[in-house]
Amino acid sequence: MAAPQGIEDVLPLSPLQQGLLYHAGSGGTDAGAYVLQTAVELTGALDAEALHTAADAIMARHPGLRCAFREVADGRTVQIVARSVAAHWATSLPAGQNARENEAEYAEIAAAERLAGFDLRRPPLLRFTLVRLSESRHRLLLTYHHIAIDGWSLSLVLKELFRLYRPGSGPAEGVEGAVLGPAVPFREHLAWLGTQDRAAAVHAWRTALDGLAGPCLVRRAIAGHGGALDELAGKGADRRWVALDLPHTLGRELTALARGIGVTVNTVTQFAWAVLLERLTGTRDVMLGVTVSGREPQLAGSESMVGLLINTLPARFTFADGEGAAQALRRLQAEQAELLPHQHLGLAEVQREAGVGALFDTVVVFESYPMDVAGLLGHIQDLRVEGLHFEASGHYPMALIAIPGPVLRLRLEYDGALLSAAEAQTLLARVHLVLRALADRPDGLVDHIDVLSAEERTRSLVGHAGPAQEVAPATFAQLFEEQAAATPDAVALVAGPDELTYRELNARANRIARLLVGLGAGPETVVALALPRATLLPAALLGVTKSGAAFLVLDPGQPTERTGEILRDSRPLLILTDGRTAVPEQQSTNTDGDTDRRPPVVVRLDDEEIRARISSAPDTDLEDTERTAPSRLENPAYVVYTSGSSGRPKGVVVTHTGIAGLGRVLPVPADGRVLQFLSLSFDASIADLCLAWFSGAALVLVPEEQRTPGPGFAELVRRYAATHVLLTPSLLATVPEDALPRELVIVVGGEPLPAELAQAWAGGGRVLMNQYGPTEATVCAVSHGPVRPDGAPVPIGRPVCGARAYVLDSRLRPVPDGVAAELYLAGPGLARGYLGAPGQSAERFVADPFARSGGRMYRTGDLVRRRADATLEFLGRDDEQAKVRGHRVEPAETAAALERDPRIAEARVLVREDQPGRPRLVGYVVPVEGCELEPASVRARLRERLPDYLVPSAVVVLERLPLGPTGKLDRRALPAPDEAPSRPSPTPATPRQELLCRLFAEVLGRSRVGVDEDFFDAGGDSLSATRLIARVRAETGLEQPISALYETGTVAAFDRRLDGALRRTRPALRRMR
Amino acid sequence: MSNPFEDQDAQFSVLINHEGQYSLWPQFAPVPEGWSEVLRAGRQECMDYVEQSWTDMRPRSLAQAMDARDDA
Repeated sequence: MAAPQGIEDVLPLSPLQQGLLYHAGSGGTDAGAYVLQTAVELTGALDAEALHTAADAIMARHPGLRCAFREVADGRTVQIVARSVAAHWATSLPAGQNARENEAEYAEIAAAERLAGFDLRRPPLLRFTLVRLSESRHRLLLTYHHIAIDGWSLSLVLKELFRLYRPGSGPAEGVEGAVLGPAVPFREHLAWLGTQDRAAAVHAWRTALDGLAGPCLVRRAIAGHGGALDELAGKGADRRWVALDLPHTLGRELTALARGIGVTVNTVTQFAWAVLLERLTGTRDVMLGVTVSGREPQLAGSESMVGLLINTLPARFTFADGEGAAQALRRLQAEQAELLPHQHLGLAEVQREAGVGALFDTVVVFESYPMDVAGLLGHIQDLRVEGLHFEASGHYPMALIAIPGPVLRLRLEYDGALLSAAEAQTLLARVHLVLRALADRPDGLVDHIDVLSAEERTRSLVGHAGPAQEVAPATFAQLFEEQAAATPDAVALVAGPDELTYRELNARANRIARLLVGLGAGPETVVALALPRATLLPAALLGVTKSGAAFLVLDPGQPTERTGEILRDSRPLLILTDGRTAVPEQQSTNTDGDTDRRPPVVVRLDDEEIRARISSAPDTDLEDTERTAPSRLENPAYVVYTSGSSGRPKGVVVTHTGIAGLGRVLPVPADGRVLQFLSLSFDASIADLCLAWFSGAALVLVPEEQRTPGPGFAELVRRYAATHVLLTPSLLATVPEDALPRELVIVVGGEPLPAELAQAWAGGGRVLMNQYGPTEATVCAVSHGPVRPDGAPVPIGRPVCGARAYVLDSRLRPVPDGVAAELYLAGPGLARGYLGAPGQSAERFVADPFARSGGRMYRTGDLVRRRADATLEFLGRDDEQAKVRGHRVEPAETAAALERDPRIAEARVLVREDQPGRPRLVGYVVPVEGCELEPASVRARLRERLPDYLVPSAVVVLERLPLGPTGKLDRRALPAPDEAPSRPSPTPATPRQELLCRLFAEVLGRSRVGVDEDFFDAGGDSLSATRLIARVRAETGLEQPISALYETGTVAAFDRRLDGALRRTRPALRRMR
Repeated sequence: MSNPFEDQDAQFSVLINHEGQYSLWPQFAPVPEGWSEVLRAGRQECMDYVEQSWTDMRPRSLAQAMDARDDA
């Protein structure tokens, strides 16, 4: 290309320049993160004119200072070097009365310069501002765009500027060459880049990044910061920094360490940061950005160039179990050395090879310029120059800059939207801890390096433990009996129209207990309850616990196949029932060859003879001598079944050790009335019993037919004058806001509490508690409240009931506060294990490395982070388990049930969250050859076998399961359930059908629903049915029971039902799903 | 993030405490105080070992108390 007048050169961009241009946004003015500033203090007599002249000479000397960036016809951007550009020089004379006012004015000048940014199309991309602070003090501010000048170049510019400075007489034309020697133009670097072996470099990087699991992003790891940060990134919106000077001795020790094992201090710094990243992100495959100088020794004069020669490239370090620090440092250095000849490749290309997008979001910069930065400082021609500082800012959320010198200075530049200054200081302190550990124990294991201070570690492990408020441990029976003795005439139980005092309930339970003992029930046996929700159920439950046996409450509403499975697994000694509840037939022969066990004896409590035996038994409290064995705290109190990953439900054996604490998680006054709404087979209900009965309050057992969510719930609360209720957030969401009295204490648990729901219900004097605890830790381990209605994410709180909560990383080390990691629980509430499943017990209830006494901890599989106020925040699951309406769901259990369908060859089940905040189960099935499968029939069959929440809301029929390269299921290739109905659906015929279609779609979270699509086949459940009925009432004014929806299903049929809405039908039986 | 107990390819230990309770344990971590190692093997082998060995899931002190009474 023939250069037009005034243009000296037209050059391509280096890879990093292209990257910066991308971040700066092509065209127009950039005032973002790559507008950098450096200032030097000048003390003494200054000849400003001479300095200005020297600046002009510098501009003339380096073509790199005269370049600008333009897009050319083919869409590429080139850099155009202007033949001649004068220094952009401004002098400012602050008019302040004193030094402080002048400083303030300087700060404004500097900010304005930065904000002005640069038009990348016009040179120069460097501006000098000389600010006169006083007669003898000046500050020279350099504002420049990183795309043209790197840190090395800037130090060159400054060094040369002061060497050319000749007070009194400006330098003669051409004198700079004589003083400074020749300067090699930036184009030589670009030319050299062009000669490098790109293919070899691509190969080397591909090898280096082989097997990379994913990027290493700190922004993602520091939880509580959402996607909005991605928008902030690169804008330099709030760039801040903190610094830490390491002690002299440590600096020397690190230098000696590095020399001793043959690595650089740069490698040591990078490694320290890598260790911190591993702890913050939880990944063993760590990636950080490093800045390389790009000044090739083979390229003569590269050290004298001004331009952007540096490159930022990934440094990968994969942590290995059992590796010593010195060994790890050598490995890191060796792996980096392998890549040395290939550092010319651009980051974008490297990322392309890795194929995972952005590889890292933090960089480590080691500032070592050959012309000793310190040498710049000092006396130059009667002038003292000091305070040199190079800003190595960038678009990365964090940059660690190590600045060698008399002391090793660490500087952390960070995005103020991500960290507070205190948090940034803490990170530097952690780097300091790692460096200290490296210097102290170079042969110690890397995995043993602690990034927590000793005090922090203690606080993290035991400091936040639940107050060991001495609730004397006692068995369920003892606790109830103590209360019954204290308040015999208080109401203990309300069940529909029936009321029983503590004395009456206790007496009944004692009689039942004696019957059960007579039938062999006692400690270490299981007695199942299959009874309707009436007074007999709690009386029998108490009878079981008084006998010393563990109770197992069966849900009469759940499919008999699952009940059968639970009975086969738990092998109860007795099953207590009455004429109204059917119990699945028990096989008399055991398939597993265990001949010791007899099938359970079914005891009909309504049987004439049994009733006679009960009423003739004494009603006093049982003594241990009457039992088959003394009832001990360590005996099981109850067994609760949860969804199991092995494809079968698993029984959690909970002992009495945590029961006393459970009754104390919330103060309930003696005149309180606890509404028992959830199924008693759901273990949160055990908390209802404990809260009521260990406080002398009344338990209000809501009869089955009244257990409807939605507006009906508010009615229940009023009818029974309830003061306390435990609910799942999904259930609470069905209750119209403000429909509940302010005095009602609401406890939610079982699933995450959405911030909006909390905001709607908390405040105004209402106590809303958020509680967390797996069945394996006796219902409640962590509690928060009263919740404040501030719209912020609601934490699950702090440990209660003497529980300890550990937040541990993948190497079982406590993580720093704020870091997302897995929650482990320890304390008296820990269950014994899984019934008849020693293996599963040993992998979930594991050795507690912090108890020192052979204690155990339960790994919850839940991801949490500990906030600054010591409350825990729930972030999600670490595994596949999910929560559907408060129930634990193991997709594997559903998949196993699907595969029991003879028409299905293979099945997989996934929790999909295609709509944020609305997780749902989706089944993928492959039919056996020659079999046509209708998703609706697959779901119908499952409904006979599984409880509602385990039935996928959609089933997708596939020819085969998509497999990834490793032969594993390729989850990402599984399609979202098809929104469209399988066959064309007639369009709505009337405005009301149209309205109904819209409401169906709204509630189902779909774009449209056809008139003959079944609500339940389309993913509807009892909860969404409640919402739909409420919406229909609101929009049409027509009142319909939920059963109407169950009986009709489709818009067309439901619409016909509305026609007959005047004569309201009320079916005798509601099918609850 | 992956849980160290779920790593199917890693080497594990089986630990036992004074109560006769078993714990799967990743070999990279030191054996916690109060526990002793009874097996070092792959994950499945460890699980099988626990399945076969942990026949009475009552804590040992409880089992002893209950059995002593039975004998009396």
